[in-house]
Amino acid sequence: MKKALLKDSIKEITKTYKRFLSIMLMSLLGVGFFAGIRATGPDMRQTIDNYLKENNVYDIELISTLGLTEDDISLLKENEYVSDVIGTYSTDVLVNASNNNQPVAKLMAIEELNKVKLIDGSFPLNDKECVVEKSFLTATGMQIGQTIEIEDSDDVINNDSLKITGVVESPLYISSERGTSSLGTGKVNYYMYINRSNFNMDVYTNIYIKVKGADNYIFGSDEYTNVVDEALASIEGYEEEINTRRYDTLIAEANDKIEEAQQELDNEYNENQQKLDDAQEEIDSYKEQIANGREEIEQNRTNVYNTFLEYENQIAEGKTKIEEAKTTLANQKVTAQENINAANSAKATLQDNISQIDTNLEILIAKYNEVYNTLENPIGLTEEDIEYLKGVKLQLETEKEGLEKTKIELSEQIYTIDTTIEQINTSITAAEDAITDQQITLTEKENEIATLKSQAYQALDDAEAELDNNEQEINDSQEELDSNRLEFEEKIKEAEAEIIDAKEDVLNIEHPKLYIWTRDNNNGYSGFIQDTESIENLGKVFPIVFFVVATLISLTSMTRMVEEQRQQIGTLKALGYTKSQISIKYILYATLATIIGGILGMIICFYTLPKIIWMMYSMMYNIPDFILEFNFGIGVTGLICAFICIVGATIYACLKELTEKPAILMRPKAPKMGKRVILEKIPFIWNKLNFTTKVTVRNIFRYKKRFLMTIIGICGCTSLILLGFLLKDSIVAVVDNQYGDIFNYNFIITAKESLTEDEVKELEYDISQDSKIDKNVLVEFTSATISNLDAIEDVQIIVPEDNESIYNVINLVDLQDQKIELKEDGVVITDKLASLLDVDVGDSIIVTTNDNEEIEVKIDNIAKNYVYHYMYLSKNLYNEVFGEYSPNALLIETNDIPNEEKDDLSRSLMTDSRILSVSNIDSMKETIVNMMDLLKYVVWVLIVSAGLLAFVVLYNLENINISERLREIATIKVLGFYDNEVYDYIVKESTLLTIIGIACGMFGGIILNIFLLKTCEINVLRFVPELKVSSFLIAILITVAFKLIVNIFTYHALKKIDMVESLKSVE
Amino acid sequence: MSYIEFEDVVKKYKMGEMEITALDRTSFSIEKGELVVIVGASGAGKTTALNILGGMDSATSGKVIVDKKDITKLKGKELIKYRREDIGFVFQFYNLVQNLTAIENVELATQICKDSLNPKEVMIKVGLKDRVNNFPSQLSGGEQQRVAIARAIAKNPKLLLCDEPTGALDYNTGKQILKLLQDTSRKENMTVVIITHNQAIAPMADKIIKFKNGRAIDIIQNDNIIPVENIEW
Repeated sequence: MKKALLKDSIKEITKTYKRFLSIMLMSLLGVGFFAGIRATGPDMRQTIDNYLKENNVYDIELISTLGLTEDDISLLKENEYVSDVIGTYSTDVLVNASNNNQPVAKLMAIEELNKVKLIDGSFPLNDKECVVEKSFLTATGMQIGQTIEIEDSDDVINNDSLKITGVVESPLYISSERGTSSLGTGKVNYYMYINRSNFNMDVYTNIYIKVKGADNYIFGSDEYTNVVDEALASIEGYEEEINTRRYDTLIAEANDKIEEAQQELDNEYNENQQKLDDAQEEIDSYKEQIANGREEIEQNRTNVYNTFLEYENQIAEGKTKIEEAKTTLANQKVTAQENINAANSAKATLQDNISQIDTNLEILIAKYNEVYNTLENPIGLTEEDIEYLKGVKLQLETEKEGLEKTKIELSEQIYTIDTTIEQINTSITAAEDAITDQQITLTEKENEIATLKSQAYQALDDAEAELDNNEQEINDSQEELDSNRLEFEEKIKEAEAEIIDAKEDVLNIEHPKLYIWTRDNNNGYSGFIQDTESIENLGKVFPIVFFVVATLISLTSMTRMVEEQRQQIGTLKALGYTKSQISIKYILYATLATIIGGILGMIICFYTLPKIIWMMYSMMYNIPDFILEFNFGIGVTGLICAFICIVGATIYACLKELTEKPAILMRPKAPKMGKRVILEKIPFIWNKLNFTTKVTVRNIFRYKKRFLMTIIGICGCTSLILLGFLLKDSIVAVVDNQYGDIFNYNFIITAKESLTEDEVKELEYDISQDSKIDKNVLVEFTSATISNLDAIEDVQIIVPEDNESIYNVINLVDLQDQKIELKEDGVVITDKLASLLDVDVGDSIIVTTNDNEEIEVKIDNIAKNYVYHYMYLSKNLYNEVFGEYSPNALLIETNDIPNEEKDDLSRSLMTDSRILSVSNIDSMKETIVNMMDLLKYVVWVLIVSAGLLAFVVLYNLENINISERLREIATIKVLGFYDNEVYDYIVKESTLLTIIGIACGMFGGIILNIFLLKTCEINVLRFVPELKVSSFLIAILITVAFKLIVNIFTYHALKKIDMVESLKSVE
Repeated sequence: MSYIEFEDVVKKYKMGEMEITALDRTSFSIEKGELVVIVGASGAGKTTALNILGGMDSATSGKVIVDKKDITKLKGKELIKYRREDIGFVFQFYNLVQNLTAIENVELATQICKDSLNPKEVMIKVGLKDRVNNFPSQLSGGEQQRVAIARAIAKNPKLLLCDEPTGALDYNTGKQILKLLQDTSRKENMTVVIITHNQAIAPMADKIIKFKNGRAIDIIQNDNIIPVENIEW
């Protein structure tokens, strides 16, 4: 290149720096956006790939419904594609956290594969410790060092009481989805890790495989997929072997167990039968003894009776004898009395004799005494008298003596009589006494016998009573024995039935189902890759709008530049410069602007755009570090595109000029012919237009290229701005639609699993009494997976207690807003799910329950829905195909109360021990809204950059417009147009174009929005293009605002135009 | 006092650090209805004078009075109004708006004027009765210049300024244009100023002003006016 030309080129740049800058800016925006958005996909792929490699994450996972064994591992180890295999354990448990909540946790073993990252604290040192994820601590308010209790119903964990020692991040769960579970609400809430040794399982639950060479490629790339698919195909070859072995083992084990049970049963039977028989024998012998006893007693009783009968006879005999004696005695007594009486009369005679004697004596004695007293006192008495008296005395004495002697004799006779009487009395008394004695003896004897008799009978009665007791006891024993026997027989029957059942079960043992999964089956990874693909789709279309617009504008500028310098080109050509020498100035100019702008764009956008987009995704995915790469390939592609477009256009423009002869070039280019436009043929419109409008209309049709450029440019920019707003609206609308239009409930209350159906209904009743609650609907809320060749999606199943109640809280309508009835013969699924599965009403789907049961159901209807997937079905249908319906959740709609009161309600509900969890829909809604707020950043990036583009486009077009028509403008200024008239004259045209551009942009925005929503939408969300008038207005206003700003520049630019230009010769 | 007075007008341009004096205390006067030809070599200052006279440029000092109005004192809008109402301008390269038909180009001027003439009549006057609906590209150079003249006179201006009106035309066509201008001046009593470097056409004028080095060095009142058709060059 000649020095003069180089100088000229540089001078050109400084002279027309505005043009240079605008081309640079165009290139910057075009290349930047292209590169930035395109780089985001690869950056995201690189990020997840690094993360997965760093944590040594599996390539293939094996899960069997019946577990996996050491044999399977050795089998897999031999496979040529496999570089590493581990078998590990995992199980779902309910966790008793500090508050009343009972979340479901997935417990896994810490392994070398799928390494967990320690965030805080330390790894468990022993089997009594665990590590948890951060959200567990946040949600439960627990801290490291506290202990949790897990409910390990299958008893597969050795220690159910675990101390939290740290916080970890699992590479297996990069999204917030934790999968489904057969426990709790049907969803796993958190993951936890414990030492492998704390698991108490016979078989592995999961086998993880690293594929040889897979780490050489980026996850999600075709190479990676090929390598893994090859290994997958090879491993799938083992399916039969693994399944059969496991099945056979299980069958054998089950058979062994049955046999053992049978053996045990037989033993038991024999043993117990013997025992029962022995007992019966014993009882029988007792019974015999009792019978014997009874007989003996009877015998004794007879004996006793006989014995006593004899005794009594003897006594009766005695009594007779005594009576006889008594009679004899009485007779004797009569005789004795007669004797006594005789004696007594003798006696009385005697006694009369005596009394005579006595009287004689007394007279004698009185005579004697007078004698004696006269003797003694002999006064007057002579001795003869004395001797007479003496003689009398003596006679008297003799007489006396005789008397006395007779008296004695008589007395003696009396005595004898007395003695005889006495004797008789004595003998009678003696006889009487003897009888009395005999009588007493007899009575005594009688009494004695009576006593003995009663004693004997008592003894007999006692013995009998005892026998009776014994008999009762024996009878009781018999009864007990009988019932035992019955029980035993029943038990045996049962056991036998069980064994029969077990035998049947063995026959029915399902063949194990082996799942061989790649990372694609991990919700988080596949979601991430899907999102990456969304961004890549975005990158395919979105920057192209920018790129096309930017390139078109630059192209116009460059073409214009070349045309402006036509004369100079002609001069140079005339001077003998070659075509390439001449055009190199323009090529250089365009190249510099393109390359500088492009490189700046790359630098800015490679770092900002992926970062901004990542900001959004980082909320959804738990991947720590985003890898920003200066993706040279993409950058260069963009740059080359820009370069080819802009420089190509420059070369084309140069060549077009250069083919002309210098002489022609030196002369002014023949002005473009004026032309009548179609509108002129419609006089009633044309004639009504004012003069400048006519000019405008004609100009628009005259400069077709500029017309198109302007419209495309403005259309593109407006579309992008509108797209931004529409995206924002559509995103925000999702939440409002779902939680405003579809779901009217505020809370989901989940009952504890242990509650019976009646208890749940009681709970429902109790809750319905709260005055804050407007509506409550009892449902079974569970989850499942639906899969077919098109997709694998988790779905929430809602089964209402009665079909009508569901409408109280869920607006169950189809896409045409017609109410959907729950029928008996089919389920209702939500629209997004239907479209992901590519199924329609009448098709059948396979639902895999949490218990890995596969159930085929028919789709009866498709419901409108925006967030997550749901399946609704009637209770009857559920009972029929899924198993027993058991309500476990309440959908609650509160009255219109402030949020604080809702929170209070939620808190008070949580204190109810029957309630497992209370989820507040408002807070869920808030979470989603917050998440979506981040999308707004992206939207603002869109709006700002599109606005910037709009400005540059308009400014540039206006500049070109002015420079092309400089002479015309100068002329009308000379003609005396006022500044505003000149402005009108020029701007009217671009205003009209802007209006057309905006109108096109409206459609463009809608189309782009629909396209973007289709490509970017997340699987669990359904975006519906939301066309808010306000968004259209704002998009129009922004474009108009930029247009007005450009107009201000234009106004000043027009004012500055020197009228002398009009005098110059045509260039 | 003359209809137009150009008194001691100085015009200086700054070109970087250099100061160029385009007009150096130039004075002349023109009477109403006069046809004036200003002649001079390139750079003599005649275009500058025309620009100042036409309200397209302002004088650095001095006074320019047109019909008793001192246009050097006019600012912004007043100056535009002066151009709009008092001046008709004919350019060397016609400066027609390519996208407008002949008559529309005339209308472009008349629509902004209060006392404008009927465009159609003007077109008939300039002899383009049959070409009114043609676009400039469909017209010859002479015809285009006629349209330009029509556009200028349709405004019914006080002063018709022509900058090398024949510069881009061939001899005969040029002559016809000059004739049109002369006729216009005569018939309409229009004050016409023609700038040219072609001394030969000077005899057609009522007054000839010669420019050299930014000064009007010679002002000749031409008593022997020769009709254009008789001028040969």
